[in-house]
Amino acid sequence: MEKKEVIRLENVYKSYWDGEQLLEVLKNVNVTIYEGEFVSIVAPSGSGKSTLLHIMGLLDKPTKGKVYLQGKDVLTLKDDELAHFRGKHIGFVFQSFNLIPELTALENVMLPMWIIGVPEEEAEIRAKQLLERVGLGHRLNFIPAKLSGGQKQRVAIARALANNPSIIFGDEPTGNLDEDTAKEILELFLELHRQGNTLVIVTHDMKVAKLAQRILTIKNKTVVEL
Amino acid sequence: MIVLVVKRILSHKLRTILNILSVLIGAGFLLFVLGLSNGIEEKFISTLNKLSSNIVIVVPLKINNVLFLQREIRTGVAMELFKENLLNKIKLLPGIKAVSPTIQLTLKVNNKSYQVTGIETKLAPQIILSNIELERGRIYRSKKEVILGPIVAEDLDVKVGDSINIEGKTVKVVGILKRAGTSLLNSDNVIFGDYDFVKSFGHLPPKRIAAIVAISENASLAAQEILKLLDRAYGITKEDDRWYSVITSESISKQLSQMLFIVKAFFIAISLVSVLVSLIVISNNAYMNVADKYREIATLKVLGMRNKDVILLTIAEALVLSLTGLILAIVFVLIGASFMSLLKITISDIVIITLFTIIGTVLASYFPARHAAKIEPAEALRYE
Repeated sequence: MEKKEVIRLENVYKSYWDGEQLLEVLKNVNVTIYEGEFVSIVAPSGSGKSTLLHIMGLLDKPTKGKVYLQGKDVLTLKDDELAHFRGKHIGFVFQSFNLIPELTALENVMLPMWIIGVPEEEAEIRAKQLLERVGLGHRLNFIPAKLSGGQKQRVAIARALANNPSIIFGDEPTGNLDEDTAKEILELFLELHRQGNTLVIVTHDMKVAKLAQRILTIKNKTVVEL
Repeated sequence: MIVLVVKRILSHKLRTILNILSVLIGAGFLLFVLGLSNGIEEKFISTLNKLSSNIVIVVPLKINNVLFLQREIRTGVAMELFKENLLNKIKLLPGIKAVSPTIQLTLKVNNKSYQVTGIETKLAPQIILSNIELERGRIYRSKKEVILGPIVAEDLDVKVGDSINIEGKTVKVVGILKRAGTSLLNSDNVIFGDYDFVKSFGHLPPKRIAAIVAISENASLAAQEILKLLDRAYGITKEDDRWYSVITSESISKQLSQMLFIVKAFFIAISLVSVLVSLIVISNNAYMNVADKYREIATLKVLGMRNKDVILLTIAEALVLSLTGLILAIVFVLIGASFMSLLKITISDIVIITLFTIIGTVLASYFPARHAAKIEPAEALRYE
């Protein structure tokens, strides 16, 4: 059976102006991520890892090249359309959780659904289910400050799953956690993978990277398989 | 999303309270000033109309506003004077009950300057007492007698029965009027005496009169009739060519309203400064919220929030604060109005202030909101 592609970067280049100097960060990048894959990107800092993540996560546009998500050329979308598309198709899990501190765990998970206009009741039911799935059914009305690091990251994972995205990006998702909690969170990622979710984890930790099916790295400003 | 707006506002309690307070003071002050000027206008004009509704005064001056009238009459400057026979013609007009020549001069009384108004002795009871009551004594019956306005009596420290000296002539005070406030005859501040007696200080040419005062059943109608008569008598066809004016309490009210409008506008301008300060506070508060929630806004954008929704969110937060302050301001001023009869708040004042607050807040928070919308979503991924 032919593998269905989720995201594809085609001849992507990215460069910045640093004062007078043009800095080339990525050069001729060609990557395809297929449905149900668990991919890790491991590279030292300063190698263009963040830039790659921004482009794949539709947070930044390449200087040259094409980006396809679910077969759609996303560079043709206007800013607001792109934001909506990102909210619907991409889930993010951050190193520093980035939960909204004033909102409860439940509301934080409902937030992406509010943003794309899912009806309130439907959003609440789904958010409860997701929090139960990540083992936080008993912490629905806790604000982030009342949760442990691991629990915060579980809320963030539930939030990433809220709109049933095509792909989930984890940006150093265990970077702020102790070893035991990190293991639990990675276990949760593996569980998500077993359930058929497409995952891309950016990390500098080879141990974490090795959990994935495919490991990508950046060499000479371009992406290669390890 | 309302949850998000409310919870974000509540996350900065002190800042929220200060913001609401600034709108409360700004909008409250503006509403207070509007209400107060409404009340003053109403009270002023109703007193004027009540006291002088049947009096018509004809002066040989082109009067465009009340201030001008006061100044010109006081200095006795007049370009031309009426002929004496005009009195008989006015007397014959329909609805006119009594007509007297009149003159007002600023004279030295016990070495101080006062306005002295002359009205014919036989018509004085009808003209003066039809509007104002006597506090003590009686009306003058000869050239040797005068009555005083209450402020003059107090100022000169004289009682009924005392004598006063007007430009070297001694006259007896036979009555003191009740305090009337604003009136066409300005009775609180003047001395009333016989027309011929007052005229003797004025050096008028023979057979000429300075001004005319009439009592009518309907002052506005009488004023029109008198104007027509004067226009015919002096061959005037255009309003601009008139060198005389006919004054009633209604015409004065109109001019007073215009003047009060200017005063009102001045006070509103001052209170607008306080509103402007409130708007600056709102704007600053919105900027501070954006700066504080930089990462959160970036996160919202990562989660799919569109730029226009970020703008709406920021403006909505500012609007909730402003409208809370406004509602409190309206409540406080209305409570104040129930204790203070001079404070008159109308529905239109409230509507105007509400619209003003909404528009002002949207404008004040739009730039911070745009600033928020420009935050790059990738900022959320930056490590702390």
